[in-house]
Amino acid sequence: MKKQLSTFLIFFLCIGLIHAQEDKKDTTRVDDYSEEIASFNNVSEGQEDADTELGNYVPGIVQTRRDAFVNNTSYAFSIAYFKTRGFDNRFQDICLNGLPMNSLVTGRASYSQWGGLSHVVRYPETSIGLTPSSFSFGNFIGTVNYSLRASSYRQQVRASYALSNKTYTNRIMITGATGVLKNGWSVAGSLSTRFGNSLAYVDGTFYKGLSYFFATEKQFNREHALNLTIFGAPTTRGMQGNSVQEVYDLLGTNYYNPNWGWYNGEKRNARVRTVHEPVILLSHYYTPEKGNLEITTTLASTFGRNNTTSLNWYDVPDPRPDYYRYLPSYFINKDNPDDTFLYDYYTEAWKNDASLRQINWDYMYNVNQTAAAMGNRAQYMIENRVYDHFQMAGSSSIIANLTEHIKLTAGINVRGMKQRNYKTIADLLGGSYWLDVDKYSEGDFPDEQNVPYNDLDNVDKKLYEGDVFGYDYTYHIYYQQAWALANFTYNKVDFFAGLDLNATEFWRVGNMQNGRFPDDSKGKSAAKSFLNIGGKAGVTYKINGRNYLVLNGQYSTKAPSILNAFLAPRVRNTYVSNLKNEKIGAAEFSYVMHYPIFKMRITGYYAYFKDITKLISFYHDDYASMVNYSMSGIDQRNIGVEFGAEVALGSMFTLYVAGNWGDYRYANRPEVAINAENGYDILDNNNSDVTQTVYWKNFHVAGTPQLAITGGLKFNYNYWWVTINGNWFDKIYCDINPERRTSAARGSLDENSELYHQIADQKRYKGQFTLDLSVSKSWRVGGRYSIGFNVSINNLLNNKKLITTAWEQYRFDYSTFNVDKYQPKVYYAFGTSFFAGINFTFN
Amino acid sequence: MKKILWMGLIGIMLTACHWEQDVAPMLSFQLREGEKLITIAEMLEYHELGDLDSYDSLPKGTVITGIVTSDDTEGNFYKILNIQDETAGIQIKIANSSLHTKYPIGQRIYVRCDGLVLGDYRRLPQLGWWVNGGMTAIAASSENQYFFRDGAVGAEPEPIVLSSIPNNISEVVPYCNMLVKIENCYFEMGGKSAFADPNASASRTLKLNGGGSVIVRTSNYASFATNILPEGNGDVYGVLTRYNSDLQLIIRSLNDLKNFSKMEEVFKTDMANNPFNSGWKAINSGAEWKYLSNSMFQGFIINGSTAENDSWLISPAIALSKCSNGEVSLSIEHRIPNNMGNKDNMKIYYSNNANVDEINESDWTELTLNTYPGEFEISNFSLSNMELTDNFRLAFRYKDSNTSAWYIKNIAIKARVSQ
Repeated sequence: MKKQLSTFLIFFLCIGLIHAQEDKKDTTRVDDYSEEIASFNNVSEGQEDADTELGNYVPGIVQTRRDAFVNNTSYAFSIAYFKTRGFDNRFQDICLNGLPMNSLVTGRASYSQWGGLSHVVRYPETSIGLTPSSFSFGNFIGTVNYSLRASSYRQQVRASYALSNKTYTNRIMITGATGVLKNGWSVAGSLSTRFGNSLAYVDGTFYKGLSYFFATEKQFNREHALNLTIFGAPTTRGMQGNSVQEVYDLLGTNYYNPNWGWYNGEKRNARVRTVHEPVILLSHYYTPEKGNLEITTTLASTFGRNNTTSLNWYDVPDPRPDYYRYLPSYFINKDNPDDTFLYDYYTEAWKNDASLRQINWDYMYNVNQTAAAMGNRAQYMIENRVYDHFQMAGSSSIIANLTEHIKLTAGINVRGMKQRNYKTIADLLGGSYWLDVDKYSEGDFPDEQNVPYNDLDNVDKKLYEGDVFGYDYTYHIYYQQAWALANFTYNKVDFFAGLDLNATEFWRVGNMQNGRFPDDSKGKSAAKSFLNIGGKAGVTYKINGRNYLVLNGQYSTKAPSILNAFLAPRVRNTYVSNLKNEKIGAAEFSYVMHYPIFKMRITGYYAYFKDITKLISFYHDDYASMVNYSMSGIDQRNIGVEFGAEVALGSMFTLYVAGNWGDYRYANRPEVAINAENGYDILDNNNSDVTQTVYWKNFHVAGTPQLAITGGLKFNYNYWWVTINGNWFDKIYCDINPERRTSAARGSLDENSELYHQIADQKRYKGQFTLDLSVSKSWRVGGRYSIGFNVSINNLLNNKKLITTAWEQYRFDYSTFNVDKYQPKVYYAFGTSFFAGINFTFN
Repeated sequence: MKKILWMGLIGIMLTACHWEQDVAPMLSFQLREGEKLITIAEMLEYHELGDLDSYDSLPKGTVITGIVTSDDTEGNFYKILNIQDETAGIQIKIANSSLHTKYPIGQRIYVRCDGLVLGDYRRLPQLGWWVNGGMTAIAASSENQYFFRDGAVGAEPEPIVLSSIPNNISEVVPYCNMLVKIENCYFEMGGKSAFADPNASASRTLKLNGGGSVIVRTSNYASFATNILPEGNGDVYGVLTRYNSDLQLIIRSLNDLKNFSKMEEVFKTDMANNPFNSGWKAINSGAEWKYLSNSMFQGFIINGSTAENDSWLISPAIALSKCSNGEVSLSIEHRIPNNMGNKDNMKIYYSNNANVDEINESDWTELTLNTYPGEFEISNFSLSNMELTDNFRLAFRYKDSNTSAWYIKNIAIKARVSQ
């Protein structure tokens, strides 16, 4: 117990240390919505590792393995970016040694932190939906805990090689573990690398990743064990970008990547993401001989950098090849439809001229070198958007079997995080220097000299590669949580009830004084605190040993994300007005059957989200400025049914079907406050916020197919595993731009007019079918070796029409209401892709 | 119990299937507390026009409303929005070159005037910003602070009809910035010059048949800048403005020119070929109408004898129902020996409903020769203010009992053909 106390002490000391250091610049992660969406396509970033090894994907505990829905859908649905019950990832807790890894900034866990470590990050303990777990209070679509104890890996050496045509070509992994040695020590380590783009599915992408993992544990006696785990996955990758359907149709491929261009005979990618965010976990396990209980305490730190490069330009043409003004559709002559000269010209050029349809690096170097020769500033450059974060965290949880019928689980969880967000100049592309002025503000304010400058401490300073520019600010977030769950088990009925209490405090520290907001940008903002509660309860009625009825419910309030809390987070300390806790209530009702040859679960679920806040920023054509668009009071309603059934056909075959039908909609009309980042409101000294109502009640919440069904046949004999399954995805919607559902966008258009429908109607994409096949086999060689292979082929029929992500651009053409000017951006699931691996195990 | 739960679940699913898509209402405007809606005429009283451009502030909370009359689709209006109410109109300067989509003609808008000033440019009242000693367009990025659409697009306001412009323009000045209809007028340079010069805006005089004139001011950026001004008379719509003491009309598009028509030749007898083969008809009694063609003359002739003559020469039916302001022209010569004879023995008629078979029963109107027909002088007869039909005919009647010869050629009709 003393050890417990001392662990806590150390832990709180560390938290205090972070508080004390708050003026120092520190860490971060993605804070920009469009970035978020863009990166969402790379969910595969997280999934690819899961993808890679067949059979390992399915979470491991008995309960989950037996679940006929999760077991058969989690891998099959990943191609379509299926989201369980329509919930965002932030509603699933991902824990390592009991410590939640969900970022305090985004709310989501970043799988890329342990990418490439699937030899060791595997077999999690999982709870589905609202069912209680033993290591956390739980979240709305379940909780996952990976145990990374050195002693949990059995003694063996394992090596594998895999070849794939997805994001990287080769993966090599080697892992060794000692198991528990006689002296109580255990050591485990894993190294892996992912590299190569010769087979990469998307042009211009590349991948270089190294992953390392080290764990050592000492079991002091039967009661105490201490484990240290350190891992990280430094990764650099050239990103895939998406585009509009016009471009895909023009080039005859849905996998056009606008991010790259030819440079010195090579494909150079302008969007390169480099991530290295290591994790250190120190865990203490206490299992007293007396008393039926278990206490796990983990102290952790994560830190590191996540940065993505991007093109930047000043007073020159937009260098992105698929900018709307470069597309043939821009050259349609509306006054004279017969005049197709320019349209034809650009259509041909797009098809035949790589310097036009991809980034033209030579042109940018040329412009910059010419400017440099005349002593002028660079006009093109590559910037690096950096998120540096540092986090200290700790958690402690107890599992106590109080009586034969009552099990109590409880825990505390304290975390402190700083994330610094800033930009640096990565490459001046042959230019001489850069000046840090805001291109959207220049010219608006002839009398206000300072307005265009982003950094008043460095006005007109020549900036060079590596210099910070644009914006620089730090988020500080602190979180404390205490929770408890009581589980009661009786003959006919099991039930549980739990309570969660947590507090969040955050603020922003501006490290740069911005010319548009000189009094509001530098220094510490006010701090905001949020106190939140959660309660959950459930009951299982055991009709008999084969049939169960389960009813669970949860209600939680959650602090708004800091990403949505500031009006203009890059440049201002001002909070959005009306910042409220989110409230989420959810219930699920299931019928579960368990027979030796047949199992089934069907669950109806319902969830209501209230008072969600969302901040997006984009170029607003009506205001001719970058605006921050802060929506508050968004309500959402998710309802649906998920089901899964498996029937064994003899000892070798299993037939299964599983699916989800959901209906996810916005449930009210939120208010939006629009705030221009060029700061025109300063000049007018007027009310800066324009507020309006978004009329999107009953529109669909996009981001996942709402209907997904899979069915297949599994074969298993003598270490041969073969699965073939077909999948149907439907109810795929385009993510809507709230701006198009306002009175401002409607103007005075008739409700029944074609143009109004073009503006307001939500696009639904056609349902698609895919077919998957996987085969694996392993052999024992001698007593101590085994060798195996696995091949999985996704989308065997090469269906290239499955849209995974689509969103309306936030720009809207107010001058001509031309909805085709800024077409929706679309990502497609890959056609046929494969992952093939061989592995050796030496015990 | 189980059944009820399932039914409940299915019930929820079914209700979930019927959803109506949310619809944003049209924009509508609400006065805030402390705001006051005044008429445009009331607002204009806050500013006195003088020799120099100047401006005045408006009371805090001033709001005006009006219907849009300007349209920048064709580029003649540029960064200008004109609105008017029942009392007056006002020009608003906005630095946005595509105002028509947001503010089409007929759209009611409200203007929150806080932050704007009422000024003038060469005595034309304007609403906007005052920067560097002059009225300046409001930045497009600030547009949404001041201008608010309200409801659906309605009809264009009824124009003020002007059929004359008095010498003292003060009577017309109150109509500045309003939609007007200049009735029965013509361009001085109609058919000769374009609306604007190739590289500059231009002023073209529009004369009113009722008296007076205004300038039609057209930008060289207007899509119709190089079109030739129409000939003839018509009506012109546009927003009336002024430049000091000159009244200027700004048209939105060529559709603002109505009923313009010029004189066209709608009928001509081809005398190179025998006109009796193309519909001309003679009903002779005594002397005969003949066609003569030689190197000196091509046309009709009749030689009267001393007998009783009453011979008609009748044109084919001529379609003139779309014509107005007709004008008949012809050349006629009376040849008599020793000036004996009577010029009154030749009558020229027209009819809108002549029956050729019942020539004497038909309703003929005489066209009087105004001078004695000497040597093929061209004579013109006005058919203006007469309704014309598609059964229009000309007729020549020779009625005499003396010797006399008539030569007629070059018979044509000009008229305005409505477009």
